[in-house]
Amino acid sequence: MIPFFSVVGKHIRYLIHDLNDSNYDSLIHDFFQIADYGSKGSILLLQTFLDHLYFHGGDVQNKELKLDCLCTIFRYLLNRPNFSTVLCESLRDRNTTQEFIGALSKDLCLDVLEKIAVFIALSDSEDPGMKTAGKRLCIVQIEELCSSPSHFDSNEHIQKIIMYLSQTEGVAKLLDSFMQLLSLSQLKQKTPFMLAPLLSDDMHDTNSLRNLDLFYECSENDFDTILAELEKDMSMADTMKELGYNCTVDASHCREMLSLFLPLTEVTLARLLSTIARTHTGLDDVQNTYSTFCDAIGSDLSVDPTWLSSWNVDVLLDSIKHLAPDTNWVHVMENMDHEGFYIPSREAFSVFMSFYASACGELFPLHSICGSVWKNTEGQLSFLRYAVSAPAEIFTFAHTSRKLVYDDNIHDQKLAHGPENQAWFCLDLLDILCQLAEMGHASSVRLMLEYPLKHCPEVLLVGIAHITTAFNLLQYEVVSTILPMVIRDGSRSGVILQLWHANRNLLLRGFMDIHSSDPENLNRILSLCLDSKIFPPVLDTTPFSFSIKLAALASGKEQWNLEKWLSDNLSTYKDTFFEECLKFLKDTPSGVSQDVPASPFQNSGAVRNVSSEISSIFFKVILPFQCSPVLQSQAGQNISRQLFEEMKRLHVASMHVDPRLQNGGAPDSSTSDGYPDDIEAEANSYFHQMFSGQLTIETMVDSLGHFKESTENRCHLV
Amino acid sequence: MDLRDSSIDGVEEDVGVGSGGEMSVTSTLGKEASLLFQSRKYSESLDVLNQLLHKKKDDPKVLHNVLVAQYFRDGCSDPRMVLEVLNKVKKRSEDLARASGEQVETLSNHVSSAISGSKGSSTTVNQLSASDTSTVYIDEYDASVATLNIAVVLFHLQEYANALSILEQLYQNIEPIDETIALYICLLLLDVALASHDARRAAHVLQYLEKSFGVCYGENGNTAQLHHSHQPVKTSPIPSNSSTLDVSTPDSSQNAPEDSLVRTLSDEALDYELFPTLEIGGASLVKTPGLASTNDLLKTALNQSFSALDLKLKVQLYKVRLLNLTRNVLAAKRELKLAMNIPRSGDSSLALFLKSQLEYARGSHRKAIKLLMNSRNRTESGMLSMFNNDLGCIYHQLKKHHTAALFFSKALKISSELRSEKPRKLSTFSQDKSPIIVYNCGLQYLICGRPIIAARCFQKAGLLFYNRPLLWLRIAECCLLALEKGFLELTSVPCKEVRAHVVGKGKWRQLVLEDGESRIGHSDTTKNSDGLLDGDDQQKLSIPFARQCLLNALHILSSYERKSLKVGEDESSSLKEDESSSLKEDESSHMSLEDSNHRNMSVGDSKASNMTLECSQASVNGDAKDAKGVASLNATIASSVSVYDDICRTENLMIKQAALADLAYVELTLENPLKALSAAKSLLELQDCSRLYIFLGHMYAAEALCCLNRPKEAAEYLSNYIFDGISADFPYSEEDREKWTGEKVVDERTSGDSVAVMSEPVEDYQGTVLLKPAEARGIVFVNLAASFGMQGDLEQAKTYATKALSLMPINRRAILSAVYVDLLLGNSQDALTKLKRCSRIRFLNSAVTFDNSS
Repeated sequence: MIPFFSVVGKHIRYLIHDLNDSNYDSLIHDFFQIADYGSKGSILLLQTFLDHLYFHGGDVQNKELKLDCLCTIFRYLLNRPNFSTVLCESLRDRNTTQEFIGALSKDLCLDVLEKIAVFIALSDSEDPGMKTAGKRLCIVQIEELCSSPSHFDSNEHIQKIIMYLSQTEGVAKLLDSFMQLLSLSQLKQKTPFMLAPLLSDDMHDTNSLRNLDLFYECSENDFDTILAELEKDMSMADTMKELGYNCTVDASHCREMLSLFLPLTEVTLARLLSTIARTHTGLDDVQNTYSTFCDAIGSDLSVDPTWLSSWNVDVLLDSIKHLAPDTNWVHVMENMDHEGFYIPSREAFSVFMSFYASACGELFPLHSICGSVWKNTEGQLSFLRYAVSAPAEIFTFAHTSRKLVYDDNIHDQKLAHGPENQAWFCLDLLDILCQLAEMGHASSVRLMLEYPLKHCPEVLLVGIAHITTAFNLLQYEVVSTILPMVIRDGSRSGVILQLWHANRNLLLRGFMDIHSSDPENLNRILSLCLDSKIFPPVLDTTPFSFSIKLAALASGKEQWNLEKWLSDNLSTYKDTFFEECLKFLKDTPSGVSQDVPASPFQNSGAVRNVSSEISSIFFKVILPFQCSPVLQSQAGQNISRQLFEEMKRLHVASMHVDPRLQNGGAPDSSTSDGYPDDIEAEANSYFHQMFSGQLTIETMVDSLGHFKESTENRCHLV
Repeated sequence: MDLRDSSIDGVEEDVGVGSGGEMSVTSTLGKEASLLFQSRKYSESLDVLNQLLHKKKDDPKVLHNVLVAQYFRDGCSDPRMVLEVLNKVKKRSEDLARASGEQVETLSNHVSSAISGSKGSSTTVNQLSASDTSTVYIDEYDASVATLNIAVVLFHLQEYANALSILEQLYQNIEPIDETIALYICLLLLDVALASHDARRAAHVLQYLEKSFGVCYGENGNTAQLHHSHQPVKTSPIPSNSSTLDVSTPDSSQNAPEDSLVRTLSDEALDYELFPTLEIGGASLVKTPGLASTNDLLKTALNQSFSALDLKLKVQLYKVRLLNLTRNVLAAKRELKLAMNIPRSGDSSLALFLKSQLEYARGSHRKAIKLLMNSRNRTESGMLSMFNNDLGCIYHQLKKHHTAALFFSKALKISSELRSEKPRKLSTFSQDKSPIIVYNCGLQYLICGRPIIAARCFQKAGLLFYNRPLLWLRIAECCLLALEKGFLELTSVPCKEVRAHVVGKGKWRQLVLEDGESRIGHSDTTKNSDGLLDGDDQQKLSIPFARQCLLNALHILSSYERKSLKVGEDESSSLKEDESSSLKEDESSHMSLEDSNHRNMSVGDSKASNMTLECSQASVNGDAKDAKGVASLNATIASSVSVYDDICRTENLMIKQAALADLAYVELTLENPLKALSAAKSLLELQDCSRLYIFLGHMYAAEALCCLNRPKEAAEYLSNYIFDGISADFPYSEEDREKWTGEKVVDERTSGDSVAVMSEPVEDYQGTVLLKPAEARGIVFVNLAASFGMQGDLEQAKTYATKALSLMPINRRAILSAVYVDLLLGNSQDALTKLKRCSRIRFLNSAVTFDNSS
């Protein structure tokens, strides 16, 4: 950070040097921006300015203008709460004298009050010289102020001055006269609240009925407004929690209790309901509290000696219905997002839901809990946690308005669709969960997803593919978990198509992840794509590095016209595509050899043949492009010379390699002759890094080039 | 109303006196007026008095009596006017007294008798009597009656400081004043002193009372038995007296509890009680039919020696109140027992109330509630309001803050109804404890985490309590709580989670961690300049505002210190000056005490101050046991007063610690490290600073130094807690923490720092719960890591960051510092892994959408 600040310092110096009439306004704007960057920025700015104008020596161009600018900035800083630090730090180690400070304040055309503020600020300095200088100047200024009073526009100034004077030794007299000055100027109006403790000592006699004035005559109504606010702010739920279960001991008690808080609004009831659920067990022994409370409010009801160990929900509900018959319970649910809402356990959840069910016969308004992310995210999560796993008779998502249409041909999988409450068909729920995961609750959300991951992965996968969020954090996680399973199990190809329709980006990303974790999966991916008839668009939308491989593979299986595809792309994307092809060709051998250890008895030779065949297709397509540079440039193609050369070399090399491969046709030869695992891994890691964006393509190419030129065999192999 | 009643009594007596002394027309008129007055025909009495006034223009006594009669007729709707007239009367009679000053003596006798009779409702009686006498004689005594009445009015207006200074003057010259008046002066002074928590003053007056008036009740009997014997003798008068007294006492007691509740200290309430009792008693008398007869009875009784027993009871109760105030619970209990043994016929609600207060102070809240309920009188709304307030205080102690708030708002509602009643009576003013109730309300809401409404309450209460440092501290705490809750208009809030943005696309995609706190205080400060505001304007909460409040609190505290210093120096010198200053000081300190008591209470354990109390009490009690005479009692009182002084000092110190720590935090938030450093330093310089605040002081100082680019010095502060180079002591013990957890002082807050700048992240204040010692230790490590990081000592930084992380695996600061160190080391992969592991990380929406087809 220090280098950063030195850069900023240089920049400021440059700006100051450059300051002139024409750029004045814009530079001032820049300076303010710098000043807004915390105290460090302000210090740097002021320091540089002062250095430039005062400590540098030599002539300064445009001095007037610069002073003017400094003046503006200085005033701006002066009103900041951290002015004293800024000033003292910028004058640190600058050998400031009293004269200098006096001159500075003069140059800046500060008025008396501003000067005082500056000098008081100096008294914070740790440099004793500066401190005394500030003090001396300050006292002079205050004396001046006392002799010719001016208007105070801020109580803060007054407070500062009084504090300063009362903390400074030997200025009692000055303090007195200042107080006198204040009392003269303030008498016409009431003492400002902030200054009351400072002035009271002196003003007490003149204002002897202060209490009467302030309290009984001026502000009567004020009390009533406060009272109204207080009453509005009173929390029935919390009070009941404090008083304990016995509030609901019988209907009359309960009604009396509730009627202390009339009217029962939906907000109040929401809080009450959440409190009831949260505290349905485990409140301390508060029986006595409640009985004393009854006495205290003058309730003549005798308190039952029985002692409830939980809320009597029926009594409570009856009382509510009695006192607020028109309650709209949907609105109550909509008000659940409040501080303190939390469902601690399954029991609490069922208490909550049974309360709702008996209060209101309607279906639960799902939008209230998964319509949007709450402010109280923890509370929302706690509710959802139990909602998703609740049995259908307690809570169901079946009536959601955004239901996942999951068309599964295989009906006997019905049982695998998760819990009866159809939670995982609710897109709103998934949406909320995705958002919550990105808001820092990923771990709790993961816990919730464990069940569907195990029991109905496809539903979850397709469902979550419908959700788009800023980071798609959860979506990627789910895809990377489930998609490999799907790909391994060929019977579920229908899922792929649904995914494709829901969110093709997600699917493709999943493919690539799978591929990069294990390139052998490419075969399965290919066949899935072919099955689902989405192969061409997949090729079109995946990155070249992937699509080229896929296309090559398809071509190897004679499913695709590689040649045409290559030339089309090459003419469209040119360099970029060319580069990728180059990379592919360089990479192919290792890609091929990967198959070998995995399946030594498969027709690895065939693969190699295929690969060499493919390579030849590549060269066939690509080389012509290189051969007619004139044509290229005319066509706007600009495949760089370097790439071109590389390709040529590669071609030669591959010609070289191929015979070797073909010659050593023994199945095991590839293992012996091929590339050792470590090298393979290294190569893969490069590729992987590039793929995940950690290595830029340039570096990749560079390092590849480097490897090639390297004399070491190992590097060549890589 | 009280005043009037008493005055009526006085008038009657005075009239009698006047008639006895002179035979003129005026005296007849005076007599008539007083008779009418006695029988509550105020307007008729007023007519007569006006005739009299016609004859004797500008006679101060007549004027005075006219005023009193008027006052009784329409209630005191305009105390200002009353005060004006009284001042005029006082001035005139002083002038007259100067002119002719010799006929005094005869008068004084009359006066004294009148006064003694009217005791219960004393002050006004005195006035009237004085006026009557004045028609005949002119003497200096007049002025003292008028002055006393001024003090009474001021007392009702709760202008205790003013009342105190007036009474103080009278008290200094009490010798020449008639005995009865002197008694009233003493009693009123006691009330005022107790109301303003001036234990020293009250003790002084109590001793004087016993010395000067002890004779009279010595006659009646020093022991309870003696009293008993007296009772039968005076049977008829005593019951009447006692009944009136009783009436007044219940009222007063109710008032008292309210007050105490308001202040949370039961002791305080007691103080108020007596005074209100006087006045309220009068009021109740007025309301009750058939009281006139009792008044008569009273007079006769007073004329005889009745007052002694009564006085004894009163003084005894004052003693209990004083002991309650000084929190000498055991002694108070003993004295209360004695008081309850004093026979009387009426109900003992004041005693019950005091007992409730005692139980409250001892922490047996349930008993307190029961006693309170027994002692209450629900018919009068003023009392009812106090009663609710007291209940609120008890529930506050029980930590049922919402219930407490319910009671407080009930109390407030009742007082507001009371206030809107017309015509207003003087007693309305004295019964209206709205400021105190509002303060209590504010405290509840602060505890419940509603800073905005709490601040409104505190600011409202501040109209009266503007010179209590605790009030300012509370307002500042409101600001800080609001900051923590994100209510302030700041660009960012110190939050517990790590905010991550992703910016840029493709290979320029970067993870940006939000620089949490570097922006604080910019957007709002400039806007927030406070113009000259009206006195009761509500100010918006903001951090600069918090700073101003804290400065005010510190200013008041330091002015206490200066005063107490001065007092200490010339304690022996002339009473007047010292006392006046000390009085003020005590007053304010008392308030703060109350508040601090709140804190202690809420803490649940009465902590250091209580502990010391108990010790002192023990010693005091031990002393008391040695000798049971008056002397020992006096010694008890004296010692508990000095203990009380210590308590006040301790409590002020606690307030100061909190204020300084808050101030350091606030200055850091405002990016004013120089000031923060000096605040932290002065916090560390305090004597007997609690370890917790010492810890905070070190942390804040270190952070300030880091902001000033002086990491070396910062490391010095931090390494205080490191002993062998690696491991660290617990900065404070679990006990220290427990002491403070209840306090709910919001001041421990994190001043956060940005990742980028990464000066010191100070403490993470979680909710209202203080850091556990282990966490605090972790924070030391975090801070050390940061400061070493700044110095470039990455190895050390890494060690500490790792330690911190292992201590606090989910702490945001620990994670950030570890990540930061990793980044410094160039180890971005590790940093990323750590970030991912952190469950607190929050990905924020940014403009970036993932682009898959590249």
